[in-house]
Amino acid sequence: MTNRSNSRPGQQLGALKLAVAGGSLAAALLGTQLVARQEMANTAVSTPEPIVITVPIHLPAMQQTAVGGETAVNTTASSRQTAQLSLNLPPIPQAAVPQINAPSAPVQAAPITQTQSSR
Amino acid sequence: MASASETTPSTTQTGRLLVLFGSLAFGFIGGLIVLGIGWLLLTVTPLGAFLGGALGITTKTAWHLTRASGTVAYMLLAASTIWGLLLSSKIIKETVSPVLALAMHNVLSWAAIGITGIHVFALLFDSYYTYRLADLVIPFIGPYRPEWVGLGIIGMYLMLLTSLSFSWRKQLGQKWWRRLHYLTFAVYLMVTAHGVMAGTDSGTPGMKALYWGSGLLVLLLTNYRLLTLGQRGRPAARPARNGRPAQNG
Repeated sequence: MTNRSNSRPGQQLGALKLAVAGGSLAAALLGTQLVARQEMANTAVSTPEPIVITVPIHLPAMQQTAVGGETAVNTTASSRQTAQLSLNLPPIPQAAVPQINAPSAPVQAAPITQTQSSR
Repeated sequence: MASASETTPSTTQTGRLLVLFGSLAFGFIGGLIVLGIGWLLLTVTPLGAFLGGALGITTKTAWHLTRASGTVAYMLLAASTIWGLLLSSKIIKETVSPVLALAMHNVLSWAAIGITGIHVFALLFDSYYTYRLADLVIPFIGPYRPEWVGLGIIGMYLMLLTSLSFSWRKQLGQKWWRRLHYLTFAVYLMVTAHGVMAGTDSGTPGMKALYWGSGLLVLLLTNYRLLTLGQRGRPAARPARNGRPAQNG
C-alpha cells in the first residue's frame, strides 16, 4: 500500500511529462502540415474565364513570278488581305501575395540559394 | 569556528558561480553536439534522402516546420511564464498540489526549450536562406533580420539558464535563484519581440491574438503579483493580550 501511494505522484508526473512533450511534438508536426496546406491553398491555381483576344492581321497578297528559274515574291500595298486571328489564352496561374512584413529599413541583400515566391 | 564562518560565504559564492557557468557551458556544448550530430546524419549520410522520400518531405518542409515549431515554442514559453506567475501569486494554491504545480512549470519550460531546439535545427535545412550553425548560435550575424533573430537567440540561452536553475536551486540558494528567475520576464519580452518582428506569420489574426492575449495575461498577473507582494509579507493583525491590536511591521 505504501509503495502504491508513493508511486502515485511519480506516475502523475511521468504522465504529465509525457503528455506535454508528446502534445508539443504533435502540435509542431500538425502545425507543419497546416502551414504546408495553407501555403498550397494560397498558391492554388484560380480558374478565371479563358481570355480570347481577336487580333486583326493584314496578310499581303503574294504574286509569284518566275524569273530566270528563280521564284520571286512581289507584294503590293493595295492587294493586302485582311484576316482575323483569335487567340484563346488559357487561365494563368495566379500567385498568392506573400505574407511578409515590410521591413522598416532597407534590408541588405542576403545570399540566396534558391528563389521562392512564397516568402 | 570563526575562520570557517569567514570562508564559507566566499566559497559558496564561488561555488554558485561555478555551477552557473558550468550549467551554461554544459547546455551550450550539449546543444552544439546534438545539433551537429543531427545535421551530419541528415546531410552526409543517406538517412536524410531516405526520410525525405518516406515522409513526403519537400524543399519547403523545413521552412514549414520552423514556423510551426516557433509558434508552439512561443505558446509553451507563454504558458510556462503564466503558470509561474499563477504559482508565485498563489492563485492555484487551493486547486493544484504544489508538487504538481511546480512540475508543470518545469515541464512547460523544458518543452519550450525542446521545441525551440527543433525550431532552430529546422532552419539548417531551409532552402531560402543559407544558415550556418554559427548563424543560429551566435546572435546578430544571421542572414535574415539579424537584430530580431539575435534577440531570439539570447532569449533561448536565458530560457535554458533559468530552466537549468530549477535543478541547481539548492546550490544557488533561494536569493540567487529568485534573482536568476526574474530573467524569465526578459526572456518573455525578447522572444515576443523576436516573434513579432521576425515571424512570417506574425501578421495573421491567430498570431496577433496569441501575442496580445498572452502579453496581457502576463502583464495582469505580474501586476497582481506586485500588488499582493506587500500584503502577503505582513502577518495578519491579531489582538494583543492586553486587548489592543498588535502593530505590524
